[in-house]
Amino acid sequence: MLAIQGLTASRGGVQVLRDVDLTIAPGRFTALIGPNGSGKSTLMAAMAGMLPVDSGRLLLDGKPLAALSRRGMAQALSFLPQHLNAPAGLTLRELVVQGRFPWRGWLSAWSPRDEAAVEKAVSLSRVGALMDRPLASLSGGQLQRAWIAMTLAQDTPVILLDEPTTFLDVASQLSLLDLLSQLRDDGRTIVAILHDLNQAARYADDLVMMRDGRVVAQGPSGTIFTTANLEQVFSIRAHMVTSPATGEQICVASSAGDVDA
Amino acid sequence: MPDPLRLSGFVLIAGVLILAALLHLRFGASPLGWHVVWQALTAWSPDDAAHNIVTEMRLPRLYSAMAVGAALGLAGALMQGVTGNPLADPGLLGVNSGAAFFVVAGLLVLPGGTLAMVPWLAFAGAITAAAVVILNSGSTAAPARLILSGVMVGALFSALTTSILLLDQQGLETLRRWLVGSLAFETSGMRRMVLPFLALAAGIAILNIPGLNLYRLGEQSAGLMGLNVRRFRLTSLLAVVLLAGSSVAIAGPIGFVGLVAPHLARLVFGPDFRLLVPASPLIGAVLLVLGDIVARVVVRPLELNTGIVTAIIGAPVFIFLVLQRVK
Amino acid sequence: MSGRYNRLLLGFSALALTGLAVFALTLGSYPLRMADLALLAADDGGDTMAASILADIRLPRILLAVLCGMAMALSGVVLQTLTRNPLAAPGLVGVEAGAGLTVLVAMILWPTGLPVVFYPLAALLGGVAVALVIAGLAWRQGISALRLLLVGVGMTAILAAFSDLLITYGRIERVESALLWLSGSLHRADWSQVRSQALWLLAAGVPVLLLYRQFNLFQLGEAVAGSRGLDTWRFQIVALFFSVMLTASAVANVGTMSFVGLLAPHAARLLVGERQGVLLPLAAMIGAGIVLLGDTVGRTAVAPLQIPAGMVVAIIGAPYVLFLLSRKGGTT
Repeated sequence: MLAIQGLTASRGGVQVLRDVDLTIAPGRFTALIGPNGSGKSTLMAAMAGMLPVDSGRLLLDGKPLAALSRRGMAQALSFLPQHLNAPAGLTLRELVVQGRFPWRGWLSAWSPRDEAAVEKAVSLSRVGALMDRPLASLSGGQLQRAWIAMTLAQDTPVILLDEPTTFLDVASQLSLLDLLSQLRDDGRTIVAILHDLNQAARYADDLVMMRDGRVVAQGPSGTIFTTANLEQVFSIRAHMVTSPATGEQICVASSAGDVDA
Repeated sequence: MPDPLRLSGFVLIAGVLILAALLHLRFGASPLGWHVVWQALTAWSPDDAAHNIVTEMRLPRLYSAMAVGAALGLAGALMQGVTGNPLADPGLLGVNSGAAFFVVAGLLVLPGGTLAMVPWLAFAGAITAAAVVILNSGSTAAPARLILSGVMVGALFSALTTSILLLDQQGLETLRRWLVGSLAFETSGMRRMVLPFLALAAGIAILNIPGLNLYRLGEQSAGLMGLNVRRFRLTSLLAVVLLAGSSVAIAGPIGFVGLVAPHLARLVFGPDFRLLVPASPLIGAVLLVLGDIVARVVVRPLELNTGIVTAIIGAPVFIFLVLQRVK
Repeated sequence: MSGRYNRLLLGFSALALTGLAVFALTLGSYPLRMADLALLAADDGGDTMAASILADIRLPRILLAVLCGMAMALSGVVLQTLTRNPLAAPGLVGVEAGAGLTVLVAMILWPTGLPVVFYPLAALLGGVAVALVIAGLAWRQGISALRLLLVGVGMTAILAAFSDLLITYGRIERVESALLWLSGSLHRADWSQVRSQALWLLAAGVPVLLLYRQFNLFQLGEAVAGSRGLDTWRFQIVALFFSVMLTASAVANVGTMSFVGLLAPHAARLLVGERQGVLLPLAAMIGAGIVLLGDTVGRTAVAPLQIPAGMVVAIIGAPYVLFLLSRKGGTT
């Protein structure tokens, strides 16, 4: 379980997160949503231990995150940032094996356990056929799956992803979200920043809505995904329609409300 | 432009220049009184040794300092405009080292090297170095790439110069001071020789003022708004080469004046090149005259090389600019 | 790009380097044939003159060239990986200038005060001081690579000005030897220098080779590396320190050769890409080859005059780097 208590954090001297309280339930898929600049990425970086915080506490299974070593942290949770760049000459396999870094000693050899984790990650992300391809030759979707495979190879109970669906076509987005659901079903805790509200509501168990560095609403998708909350968080006028195919609620934004509010 | 504030800015700079010039005439290996300087300028008598120091030694040196400073200041403003890079400077980008290498190689290696060839050698070196750096940095204004390419070109030419001098010990003895930028040599002849080139470069700079202003919006936008980008870049580069080459011909490679002068000009006058083009050379002249005073006064009766003084003062300014502008 | 290809490549370069070294042993004002070398190696008595030339002059000089080339190349790879900029050579960002200036001070202002053995320590002091100042100025929640590079350029200019000051106003006879050293010369090579350089390489070069996994991870970006368990701040500081140690020791022993730290990593990267496990040793061997070649050409091309190896490397290497860069266009 990941718990955030009274977290305040800054970037470049500007306070981006203000007194955030949040509990991420274990074994669930949580989506962070909110408008640009609402502090989602900063919150996630802080959760991954990648950002010094001004005040507040981050607890992982009841223990302060800051007390863990880098390696210990990386054995407990993995984080895929939004902006990624890999040396173009590397092959996909060379990228994925680096996910095993926290599990290997300084000079220890590649173990069967490492190999098993990589194989599982590769088959889950369906990049097995691309193992020896240079990263430069992959499409955007393939490359994103390669990074996901690397993150999975890290084999952590908690997985954080910052906008993993950006730059993917719709089919790739859905298959990635299916993969995340599958990982959740395996017992992992998934936290992802998503931009598509309906995808977030449909796939995530819990939603966290942010605005201006604060958490505005959090809870199970079914109860949080309401026009009132969306209007408050995104400054839009929205209404809900029912999908004829699945019977789910779908949000349709009819107009930008008072955007400057 | 008849903005009184800006006009007063120019008056101020002109005033500082005159003051610096008078200080330059007064101080030196032997400090003279103000009245001596004044008499030498207004009522010169050929028998007075002090008068001769002023008119025969210090005045020519003052003119050279002003010419070199102005040339470097203008070259820096043009370079920063054309590369879109606020850190550009003919010294930092290897242009001065290129010119210096060609001069040294020409004088020591070519048979029958004479002083008359110096400006041409310097131009050839400057154009070679500038072309290599600009080809290298591509069309982007990425500061690190441009600067590192420039530093590399500079390192290459310095290495070549050093090799030649190591093989020619006499050359080392005579040229080692010129090579770090010095105004201590008699340079009137050289100054007269390069004056037409300086005038030509100034003319190009003035004609390119509208282009420089447009170019701040980026190469593509400037092209869309009717600027002949290729001609603009080529002529500006020609002017930079003439200015940097001339200054090397007179005083050897002197760095950082071309970096600092346009920035000071921008502080006073803002980003408009209609004001920067006249202001940068004026400020460059002030800087070099002041630098030359420092060079002659701090270790009296010896003197420092002006190029060393400008580097020691100018490089921290460069670091400051980096810390300010590069996040 | 299989592991086999990489192993073959490493084996081949080791072989080529050995071949070059043996060939260099035969060259010089007292020419030897390969057959003579074999005889001497078999300790067949015979030509004692040749034996002493080999043992006292050529062998240490060649070994020193190899060791220094390795140190410079490794230092370059480390700095380039840390800044993620292939142009970041130790010679361009102030470390070499800092190390060089301290040695220059020792040589020109205080020629009797410091035994030559301590030059590496003095150089290290200068290099570390400069690296600390640059890293401190460039610090912005971690070392910002672009600021580090550009501040380094500024620092180099200041240090170069002070070097110029010493060169211009120092006593000419000291200046000449200092200038020779400053331009990267192995003419004073002896066994004590070989031992010192080998020790420094052991202390800083071997750890760098062993840290290849960390380097691999680091080049994926700080956020990725950090969340994979790499303490990126500590890693940057440790790696920077190793890089400075390598540069400083090489500068103290043979002077400045700015282009080796740029050229060798670049050539190695062309062959194996960013695979640090192969890149580091390959760059080291290429660096060794470049310095050895530069020195051998420098001492034989216009004999009896000796051109410093650094000059040869610059004259041959710089145009090559410039050519490569201009082909690559605006990608950096």
